[in-house]
Amino acid sequence: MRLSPLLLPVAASGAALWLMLPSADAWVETGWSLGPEQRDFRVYNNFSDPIANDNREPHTSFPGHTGAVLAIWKGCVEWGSAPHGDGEGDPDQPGGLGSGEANFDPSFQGLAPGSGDIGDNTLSELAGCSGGTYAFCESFVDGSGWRIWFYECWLWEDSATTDWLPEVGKFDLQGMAAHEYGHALGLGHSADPNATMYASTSDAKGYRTIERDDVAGVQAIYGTRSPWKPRIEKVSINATTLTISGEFFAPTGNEVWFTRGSGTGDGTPVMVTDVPSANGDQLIVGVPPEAGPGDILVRVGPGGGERLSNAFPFDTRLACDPIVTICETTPNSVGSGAQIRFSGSQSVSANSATLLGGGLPPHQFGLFFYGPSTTHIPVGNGILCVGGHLFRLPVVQADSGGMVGYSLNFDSLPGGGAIGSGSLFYFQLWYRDPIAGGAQFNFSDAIGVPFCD
Amino acid sequence: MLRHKSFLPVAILSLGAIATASIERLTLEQMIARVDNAVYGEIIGRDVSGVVVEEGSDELFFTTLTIQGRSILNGEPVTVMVSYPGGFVDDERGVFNSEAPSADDVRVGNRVLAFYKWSDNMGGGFASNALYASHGGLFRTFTDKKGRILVQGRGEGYAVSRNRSLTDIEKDARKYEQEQRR
Repeated sequence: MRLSPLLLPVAASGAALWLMLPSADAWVETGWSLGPEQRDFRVYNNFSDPIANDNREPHTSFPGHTGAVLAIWKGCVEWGSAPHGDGEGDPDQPGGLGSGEANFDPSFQGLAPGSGDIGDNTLSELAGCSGGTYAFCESFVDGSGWRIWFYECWLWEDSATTDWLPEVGKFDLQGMAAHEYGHALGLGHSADPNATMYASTSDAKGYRTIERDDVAGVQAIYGTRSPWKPRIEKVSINATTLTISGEFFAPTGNEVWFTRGSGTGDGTPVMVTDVPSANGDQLIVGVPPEAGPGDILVRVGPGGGERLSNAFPFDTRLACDPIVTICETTPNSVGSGAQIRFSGSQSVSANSATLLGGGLPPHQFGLFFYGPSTTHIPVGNGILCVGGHLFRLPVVQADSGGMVGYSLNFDSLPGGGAIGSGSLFYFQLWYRDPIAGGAQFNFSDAIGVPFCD
Repeated sequence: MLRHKSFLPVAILSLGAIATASIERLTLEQMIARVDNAVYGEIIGRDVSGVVVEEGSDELFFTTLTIQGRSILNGEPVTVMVSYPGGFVDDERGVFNSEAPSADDVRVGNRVLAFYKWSDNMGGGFASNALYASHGGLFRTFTDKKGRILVQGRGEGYAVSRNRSLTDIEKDARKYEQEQRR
């Protein structure tokens, strides 16, 4: 515990003093706080060592990014008021990412095109070395922004876990990001050796989880989380309509903040404004096209951090235009005709889509096929609805209930039939039906499926 | 999100900016293993320079101290310039750095113990003897009633964690250096 005040450098004007205020705890305030307009952070991913970007394993709570960006994102959201989504993402603290319990929440705003200025709120690598200094944060003392640097001469490990072997000069990027972001939000160095804000470290692994002293510090600056602070508890997407469920949303005038997708903004979130809520616990908004995978936050009106919700992960790639049914089915030997349906995600990167068929004659063979356009030509006992160059998928067999299914793997589609983001394809099911007589084969109805990132 | 870009000089002038950091956890033995030299002496000069890292973006600032005294590793006279990130060029240009020693610690005329290591690039191509671990590489000294020179410790994780006599530190430092040479 620091018992005596530490007077730190006097501003160049000679008027502004920077005081590191002692407290009953070991944490230290720098003297500023970030306003709600300064909660953004972006990563300029210029980390040069391969181990800073070799974690290629995505995490559903941190959509769209891996490597250094993912590690830094995790480090910053640890300071959030409530668990980030389900709080998962750090094996060292299962369900525990987001531990600040203060009126403070960071807003991940994706990639930055450069390190930028102090006040651009970026984190990046700095070429060079300054002896035993690992990283540092420059800030305006009025809370109007900051810039964080990680010295390039150290090895920055982006691993999701902390079970990597110690190595001289190797540091946990997530942990160091948590420490430096603590400076950005207004904390100095704590005298508690267990705290994330303690000045010196051997590997920064222990910085990942903010401790009681750190929590006390962020709460002292921003206030303990208000009982009426808006909170996002769940998000769900239907086509391009997002439903945000939670509590303490304003009846009218809510702002929904999205992570900007382009990587070229100045950190300002993509906002949907004037959103009304139903009973204060639900918001329904369209997903703006400029939004990218990241976090959403809800601001319920002017004021401080008590008016801004927790950050909740949201993958904009799940926001695709709706699937449409085209064409009609025709009766077969077992009923009014076979139908095709789509299950799973329309996101190409998610790669979790399944085609389903029902109403087929039991145990009969068939196959799904797709093409880029529609047509309407009587063929066999039914109607061919998909036009253009057709791509056939492997043969499937109906079960005793007349159901078939096929899991699409976007990485191994027929030659020339690649499906990419932004594309629209039409799918139909062809199947054998000898009992029906005639041509002894038929078609289901057809669907048009838009695909997105 | 930005921000007062057009007001930047004003912001710096009236409010200042500050930089904070994380530093290496060191014992005295580890510090001796990492540095080029350690000097006990008087600060006889202080200068601040700004360097550009990215064209069009805010500069990085470095403070350079000139320290005149003797090496605690071999006793030879030394006058050396050591630098750390942060500082003000003038009233309008600069950045504070809490990781740097406090303003009180780096006043011209202070007697200090400083550990340093040459760096070809401390950022933006700035080359200098880096004050090793920024504030963790500089320790104030004072003389007690018996005339002994004492070095002020900074706590756990610092090369001088508690107050110790300079004589003891010199003795240990030379021992560590000789061991490391072998």
